[in-house]
Amino acid sequence: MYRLLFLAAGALASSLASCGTIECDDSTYTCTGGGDNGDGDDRPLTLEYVTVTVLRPNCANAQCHSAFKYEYEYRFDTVEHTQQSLVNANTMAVIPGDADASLLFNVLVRATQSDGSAPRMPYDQPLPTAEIALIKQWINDGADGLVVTQ
Amino acid sequence: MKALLVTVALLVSAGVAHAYPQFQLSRDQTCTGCHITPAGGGILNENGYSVAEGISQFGHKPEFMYGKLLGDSGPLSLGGDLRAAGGYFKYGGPDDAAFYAFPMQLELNAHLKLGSGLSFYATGGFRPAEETNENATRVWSREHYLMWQSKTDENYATYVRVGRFMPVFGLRFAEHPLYVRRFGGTQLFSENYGVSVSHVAEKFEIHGSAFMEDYLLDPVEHANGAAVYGEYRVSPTLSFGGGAMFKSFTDGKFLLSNDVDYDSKEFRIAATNKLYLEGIDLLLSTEIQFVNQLVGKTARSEDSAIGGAPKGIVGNIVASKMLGSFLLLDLGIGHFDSNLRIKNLDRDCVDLNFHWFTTSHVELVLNARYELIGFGSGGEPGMFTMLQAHYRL
Repeated sequence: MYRLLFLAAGALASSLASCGTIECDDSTYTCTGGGDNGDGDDRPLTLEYVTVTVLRPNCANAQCHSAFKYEYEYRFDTVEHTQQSLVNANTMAVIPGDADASLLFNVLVRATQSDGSAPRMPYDQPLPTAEIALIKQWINDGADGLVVTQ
Repeated sequence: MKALLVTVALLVSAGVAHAYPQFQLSRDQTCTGCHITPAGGGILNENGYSVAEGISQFGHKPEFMYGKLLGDSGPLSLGGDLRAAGGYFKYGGPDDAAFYAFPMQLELNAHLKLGSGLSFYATGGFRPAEETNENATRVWSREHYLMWQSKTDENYATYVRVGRFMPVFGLRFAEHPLYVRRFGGTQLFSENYGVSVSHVAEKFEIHGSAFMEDYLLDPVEHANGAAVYGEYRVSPTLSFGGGAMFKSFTDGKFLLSNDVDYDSKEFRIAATNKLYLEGIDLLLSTEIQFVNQLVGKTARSEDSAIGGAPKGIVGNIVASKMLGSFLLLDLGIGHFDSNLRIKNLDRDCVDLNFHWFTTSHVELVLNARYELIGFGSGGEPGMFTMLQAHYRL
């Protein structure tokens, strides 16, 4: 009976892997298949969505960029903390409109240096192309929610 | 390279010794069969000591500090864990990898009976220090709670706990990198303050917890919520379980929007199954969760009704087998997809844990994982191996 269950689980996993309407290109980090016309990525390009669906689950664990550890003074466990970290960072963490020049995007896609410094993040579990693409689109779209205008 | 090794050590350090759900049904029926607390983990009871001795290669007195520190019948029970680890980590492209070694855990547990079924339980020790606040955050108490037990010193009882602990939800694997821990609502160090009621009987157990964000220290998760989880044992070798968890994340004030508070929510439904195949001494443990997120009722995007409510799935199937009397092999597969609308977003992995129980107090554990994203079409693969040396005081 359990042989059948294993086969069913395998079939379920493979079918789940291939389902979905939004598909992303791992060379350009662009996505298609969403929206009414299927010609774009309709995920919200907002700080809230980027934090809750990408940064918090992947980066804000106990050993890294949560408030609990505050590694390198970045914390992505709440929208407020993400905003504070990226605005206060004395780096070019996010440059609205220019993902290629933004540290946040580059740490996700860069090749690790030969001396082991500056590794690609997160180095325990690489991000899926679709999540890197979301970060890139959010930055290129102006990094909505990040710039404090008050 | 040195900086990377230190960082990697911090990344994977700070494990926590919990119970072995691999023994439920195969060695005993419930967590309370071997542990003092209804959720398992921490201090062993008399039967737990007996199991620890029985499954180890060289036996030896299983009690805390070999029974030299405390008597058998006093109100105070103590426990503790020392753990160190080292291994190999793949962290980037095909040629990017590192070796690492680090101290993993140093914790002490205490359980004090206060009479009339009341007791106090606490776990304290070292933790990863918070950057910019190192001196105040090197040590902590991960768990501390008052517990009332309807039948003192019995496995089957009603328990009420008030204090800081992990809500009971799902199978509660000790290995926190497993998907149903890491992405399953009970990630490492996500204990919160709350209250829980548990009832453990021969045929079933049920647990209900309500919890709130820890305002005394910077927590891993900023969430208020509740969880229920129950298991029904159809026979001594077969059980089914189910549960639900709701979390409302307090995401703070959103500075751009005139200081309005911002929140997101998460709802999980879990189903579990355990089957012990007695003839071949093999335990199959399965957990699957369906997750529905709401990314902020105040989300400013107009299309957030669709894109802002991702639905996901996370699950593990683990086969556990005792090889001889003192070796335990876990071989499992995991699946995690945080948004079913996105193609090739899913992670799939094979996990291997190999335990060698040498004496009643010493255990060597080999952990290994190989992971693919979108079955190789959605990003870089990941892998690690780790060897742990665990000494239970």
